[in-house]
Amino acid sequence: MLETNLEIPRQYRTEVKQPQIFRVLGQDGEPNEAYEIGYKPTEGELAKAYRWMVVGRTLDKYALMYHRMGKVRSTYGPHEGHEAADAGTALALRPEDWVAPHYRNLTLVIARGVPLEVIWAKFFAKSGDPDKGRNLTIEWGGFKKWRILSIGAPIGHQYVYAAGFAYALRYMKRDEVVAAYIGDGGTSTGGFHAGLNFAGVYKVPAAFFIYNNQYAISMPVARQTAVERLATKAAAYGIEGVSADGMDLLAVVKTAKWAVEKARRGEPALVEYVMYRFGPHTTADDPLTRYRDQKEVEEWRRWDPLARLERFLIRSGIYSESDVRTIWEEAEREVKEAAKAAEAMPDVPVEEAVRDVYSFVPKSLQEWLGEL
Amino acid sequence: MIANMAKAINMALHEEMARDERVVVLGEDVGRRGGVFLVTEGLYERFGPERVIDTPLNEGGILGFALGMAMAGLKPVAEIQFVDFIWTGADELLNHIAKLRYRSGGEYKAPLVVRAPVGSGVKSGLYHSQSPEAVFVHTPGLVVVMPSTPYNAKGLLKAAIRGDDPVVFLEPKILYRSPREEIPDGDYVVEIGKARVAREGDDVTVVAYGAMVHRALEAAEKAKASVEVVDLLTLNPMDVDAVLKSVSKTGRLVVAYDAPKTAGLGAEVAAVVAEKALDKLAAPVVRVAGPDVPQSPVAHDAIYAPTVERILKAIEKVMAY
Repeated sequence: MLETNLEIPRQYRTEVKQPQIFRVLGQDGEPNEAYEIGYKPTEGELAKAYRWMVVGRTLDKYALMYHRMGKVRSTYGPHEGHEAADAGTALALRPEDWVAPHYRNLTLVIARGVPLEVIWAKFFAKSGDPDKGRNLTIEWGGFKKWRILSIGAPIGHQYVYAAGFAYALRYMKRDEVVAAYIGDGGTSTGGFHAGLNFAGVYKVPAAFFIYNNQYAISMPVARQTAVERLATKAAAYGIEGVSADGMDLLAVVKTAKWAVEKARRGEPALVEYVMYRFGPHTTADDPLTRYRDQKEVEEWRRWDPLARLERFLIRSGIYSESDVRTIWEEAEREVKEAAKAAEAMPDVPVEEAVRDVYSFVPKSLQEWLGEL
Repeated sequence: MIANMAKAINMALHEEMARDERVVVLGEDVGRRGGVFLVTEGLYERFGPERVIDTPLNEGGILGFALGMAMAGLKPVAEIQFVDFIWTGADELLNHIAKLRYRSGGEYKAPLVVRAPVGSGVKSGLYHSQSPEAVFVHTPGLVVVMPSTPYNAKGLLKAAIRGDDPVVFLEPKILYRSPREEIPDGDYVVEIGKARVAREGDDVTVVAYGAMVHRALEAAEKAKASVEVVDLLTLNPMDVDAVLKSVSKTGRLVVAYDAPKTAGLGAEVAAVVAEKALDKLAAPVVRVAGPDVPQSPVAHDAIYAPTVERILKAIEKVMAY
């Protein structure tokens, strides 16, 4: 048999260039030369972001504790490690912009201005919950007042409706953008691809953020994709992508501002935040006995978003050590007081079970209520 | 004017888009092509590409995009080229569009319309002939409508677009070109949630919807008994009172539907009557439906859906009991 040369010359083949991970802060909180790149947050913005992050971590700690005590009514998804990505992207948005969260955006929700007692009311499924006690703790269903789009648990769909929502904003001639969030597991879904594809085709004002926290429940990111960097996926949709350290507030702010302002010009963009989920996927998960070892967690701990930012703030003279202590103490007090207030709220009335299915209550549902 | 169903739906879209600039149309080939059944013909030229949006080939994309638009305040009318293709968008439709109002405590809503051709009878095979209405009816949050004539198609679609809930609007493709009927000039809507008595009778009730209404009417003409035909029009929420009223009068019930028999709409109609009017029945309920095979084999397409003869036999059966 004749030998055949099957090689296709290089100029006919696609090439994928893996981006470097954009990072500003070292482990000791010292900024590198990338500090000069892009948007520089003001001292006030940094202080605001730090406060959101401290409250986010504190609330997360107590949510886990209250879950163990049986007070949190459904499964809870720990947030530790995600604070900088949430705070940094929130800082890049204007108050009138919208967010399409994924299910682990606790600091983002705080940053959008949702009061702590409202979050607790949701966790406790009390009447102060805008979702009327219908969703899991980390499904943000009815937080429209804070311009948070509604999500359900199935992964990935928020990218598609974020694109549609953004299309509508432009159609209505509004100068607002949508920031859409997804995890690394979500990048395997049809929703991720459809969302970016539609966004690219119609050039909608939306910025897309991937939280690559290394795991989708127990599945490592290498089981989601064969590419090194998730940001390269942007190329397939004709949009630009960037990879950044998602546990470095400064790297997040700079890249998020780039993406959001690009989106405002009608150029959707994608940012992959490389980061880590320190805790389990949910309270029903047990990573250390099942799928990852303590050494890995400890290695990532060295990049803790709060510790690094704190060192930077102290190094820059924005805060003293005692300021930092005060902020943590205040956060702890606020979180506990809010929980107390939410616990005292009445339960969701039973009539609510049949409301909001439609714009009306059908006869069959009225009958069901009558059977109780 | 005299119009067929495709034209009547086209008129509804033209009129609603002209009436309200929040109404946008999206789907595969709906723009320049005017839709594969030409239902969206002329909209692109009249309202432009921002409002008549040719989309990438992705049903999940179309439905999710429409959901986002509706959340923002637009009134999207999304076309799924054939309902058989809707399953790649099932997550969007069943999980998100249907649940949005509920999961958000009423803070958000998705007043959008999903239009799709359904049903057998045009030799289209297993992936262009399905009737999955029972799945949508079984999903709280969705309003499900299936018109039977040009007049009610136009009026129901206009009501669907103006409403505040997500509506799955199923168009029996066998009815697109025939029959034709007079459509009045000027604006009108047909109320969603109301069945109509398509033919009055005293001895037996045939409940049908979509294309089967016409076969039931033909069977009624041929039957020796006096047959009342109830056309559901809205499948969810179903006009249970209309069904019970008719069955209470006639005492006999046949349900005819173009779909696999098991757990179809006929089961629901029979169950409602069993629950609420069993004592009015003089004979067991008979369901006339398709066989439980993938809908619909080309070679046997003509006998898949209830034929006039099968409906007639069912009428005779309940009369003879």
